[in-house]
Amino acid sequence: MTTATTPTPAPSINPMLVIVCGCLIALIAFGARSTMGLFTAPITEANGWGRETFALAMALQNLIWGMAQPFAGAFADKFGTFRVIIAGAIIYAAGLALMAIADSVFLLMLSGGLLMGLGIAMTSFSVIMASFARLVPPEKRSWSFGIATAASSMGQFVFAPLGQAFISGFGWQMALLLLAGSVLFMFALVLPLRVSRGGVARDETELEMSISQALARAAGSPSFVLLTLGFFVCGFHVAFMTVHLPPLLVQEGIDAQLAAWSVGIVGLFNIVGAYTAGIVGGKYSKRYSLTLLYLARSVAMALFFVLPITPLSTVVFSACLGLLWLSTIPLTMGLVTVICGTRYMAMLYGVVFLSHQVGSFLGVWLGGRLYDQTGTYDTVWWTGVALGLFAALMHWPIKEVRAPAFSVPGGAQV
Amino acid sequence: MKWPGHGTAGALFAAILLVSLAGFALFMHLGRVTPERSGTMLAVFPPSMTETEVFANIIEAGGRPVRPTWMPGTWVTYGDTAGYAGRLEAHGAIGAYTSASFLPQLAGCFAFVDAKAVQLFTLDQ
Repeated sequence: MTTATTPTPAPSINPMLVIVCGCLIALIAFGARSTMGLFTAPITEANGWGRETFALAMALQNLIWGMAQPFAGAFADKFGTFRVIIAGAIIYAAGLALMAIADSVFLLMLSGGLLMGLGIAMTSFSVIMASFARLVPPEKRSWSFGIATAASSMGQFVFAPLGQAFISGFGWQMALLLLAGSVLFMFALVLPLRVSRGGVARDETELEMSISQALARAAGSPSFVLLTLGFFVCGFHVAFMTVHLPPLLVQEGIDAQLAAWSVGIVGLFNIVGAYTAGIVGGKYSKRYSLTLLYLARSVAMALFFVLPITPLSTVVFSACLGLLWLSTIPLTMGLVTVICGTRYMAMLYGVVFLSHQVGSFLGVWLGGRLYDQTGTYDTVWWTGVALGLFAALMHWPIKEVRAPAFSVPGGAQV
Repeated sequence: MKWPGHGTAGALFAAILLVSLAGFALFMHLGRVTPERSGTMLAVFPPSMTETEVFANIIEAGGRPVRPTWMPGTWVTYGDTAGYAGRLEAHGAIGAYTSASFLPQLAGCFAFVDAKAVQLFTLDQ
């Protein structure tokens, strides 16, 4: 039976602390994993493995992250963000610590793949943003999603030099243990987010329902399905570009230094893009913003490939790509909130995110496979352009209102 | 209840960048090799120095350039006599580092460590 929830008084929370601590948790979760590339050489050399072995562990990590995200979200929805982040931090830290002593491929897959993947799912921005959605007033939600995404992205700037410093100063094994220690710092940061479910001001327009009901209703909502299909493309683009853009640039005659810096340019502009997307999502239509965003990705990719690839075009393209990089996240998260409400948003965003991770896998795999078969990135590049147009088409018809299955009859919609 | 806005975001991002700079300074400190060291190492010269100057300074320090890296002014070099690291610094290097790889990292939902990409960016010899 479904009934409307009764409003409860807003809890006593410190807004500044909630935002800052939430952002820092997301930063640590993203940052620690972004250092994994630094460990490729020392770990593989110490154990006599090929680099592909380490890459496989990281691929497994991403797959586990994607598959675990809906479950992590469901736990967060059911038992609260606090508990999930505490458990996630322990698992994440255990993964890093175990990786330090991994002397077999099985242990590497278990630590760097399974445990880290689970830990990331339980501590990443998805869980943080769901917490923000419940604690932050509706008019500030989109902004809070933007700042959380941007802070996550900044994790690379903090942890890349730190990870390198740890490796240089103390060796790769101690570096992993120090990273594990920094992940445990989440224990302190999660305290301001510790608000009991009953203490959170509830949305009167939301229905009380079970997890399975929420999943079934989301699956029956055309807008939710379209959003999920569209987010697949984001994963495809991001993963393909992360892995294949630098080698592609070098193949096209761009200096290896600039190819490497292009990655940095994407990262820098991504922060601007993610934060701005949060602001835009709070003021304008999220679905139109996403439609334009995917359209812009396709146009940028097509122009870059059609025009001569020069150092200037590389820099401009990297900047555009950065602006359009993770800017999909605040808008997508915002739409999940609008369509399905905040009650099960962590889990439902997890479902959308799973589609993203499938796209990620295909982006990397297909990019490599087609390159090996044809010797060029042409086919997969144009596939990316076409998928961008497909995503734009998917987002256009989304209804930016609470889905009927999630709203109280006659209730106002947020 | 007043919720924070752009000011808080700006302050937070600035603080994160400061921590990032501190991390980089820590790396510069911890990654440095002792002046007596010889062998293969990264020589970091001021980015303002031309490649010809960098090349000449490595030779004068008693080493040989192995290959440039993606970081400006940073070369993988080799010197087989003791004190090579110290001589590099005496010849204008900011420092000599053993550090293997300083990869540009992209925070994304997919941080796939591709062997091909790692090979491209690694400062390893």
